[in-house]
Amino acid sequence: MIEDRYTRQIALPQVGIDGQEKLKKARVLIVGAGGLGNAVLPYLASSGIGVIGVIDGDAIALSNLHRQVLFSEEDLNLSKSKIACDKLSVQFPDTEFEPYAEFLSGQNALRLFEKYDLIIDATDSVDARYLINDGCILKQKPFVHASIYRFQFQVAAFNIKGSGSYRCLYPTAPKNVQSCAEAGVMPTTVAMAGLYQANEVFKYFLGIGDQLTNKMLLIDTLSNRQDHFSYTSKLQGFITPDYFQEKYAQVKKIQFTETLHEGVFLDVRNEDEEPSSELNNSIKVPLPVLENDLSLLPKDKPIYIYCQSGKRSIQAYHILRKNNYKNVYCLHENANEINELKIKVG
Amino acid sequence: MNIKYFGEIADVIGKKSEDIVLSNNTLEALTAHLKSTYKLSVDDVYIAINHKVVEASRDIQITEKDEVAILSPFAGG
Repeated sequence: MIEDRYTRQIALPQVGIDGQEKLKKARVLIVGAGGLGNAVLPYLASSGIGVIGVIDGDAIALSNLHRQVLFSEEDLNLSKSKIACDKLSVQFPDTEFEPYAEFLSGQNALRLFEKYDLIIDATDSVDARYLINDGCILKQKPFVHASIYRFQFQVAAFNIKGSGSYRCLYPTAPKNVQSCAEAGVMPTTVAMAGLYQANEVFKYFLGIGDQLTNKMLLIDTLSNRQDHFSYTSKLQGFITPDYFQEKYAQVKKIQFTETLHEGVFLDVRNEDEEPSSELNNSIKVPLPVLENDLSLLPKDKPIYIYCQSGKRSIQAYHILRKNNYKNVYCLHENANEINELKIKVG
Repeated sequence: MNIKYFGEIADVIGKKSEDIVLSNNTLEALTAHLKSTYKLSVDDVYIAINHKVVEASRDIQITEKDEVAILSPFAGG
């Protein structure tokens, strides 16, 4: 059966039955079901990629339809990721689709990336590209990038067998960059960029051809000019789990001196950790038991979390937010510093 | 030397390429030119010489025959 549907690509000496099996085993996550996502998705599915995850928290708008051709007017205001997966699963039943109707964030990126073999950057924001890049470095996942400005697009493959990352090409984000919504775009430009991405994905899983690693391809669709720009691959040693948490976890932080009297301090260290707290209104619930012991914590007062170094506070913060605590902060200071400030300010 | 501008930069400055003469052919002189002529900061643009992206802070000589490209990340998708 597999041969019938895919017989024309299996006929290629570079693919064959073995190659088709490789595509079947592949798990790909597409970040963004907008213009790029709509171009890359059908072709990955039609080729028989085994599992495709699609993450996008956006809803379908009328202005999307000219380039996001999986969607129609009856889909307006519905989830992009869900509609894309629903439609494609009818057309391409061999592929398993996993929709995530949420935006990629510091909270979900690493957990999601772990489940896939390759990530596709089909977003429309430069900030999201750095999040994808840094998450892929931490999880050692390859990712295929494309981005558009009016009639031009850039494509590159990063993090493949030790190759460079997006930060090697563009170490820091510029302050002002226009998206498709601001700059305008023709559907064909974004579709071409998406197809270049799909093509890089096929080459990766089939192990054929030359990947766009350590270089970026820039195509101008008006002039048909194509340029390759190479860059130096550099180890991005500063991207550590701590850096990622700090930059992307979006934790609300507060100084001890800014806390309110009615608030509750939450010490998430273990019972035996020193120094013990000098605060009168501090509750100790060690992180490992926090989720099962939330009854001690009021929902109508601010909660200020602290620990020995700040790492466990961040984890505790996410546990409380997940359990609908809205007024939660991580303290900038650790237990030692809080005691010192307490003595100083009384 | 000939400079090519790509993406949003080309639209901001209103040209896709130009020939310029610098007082001395160095990367430093080029970045100074971009800043004084177009208010382009080295923090916002990336420079490629002969299709290789270079660090703006490096002390690099440019010759008349070199192909210079001014690039920036694109956001759209």
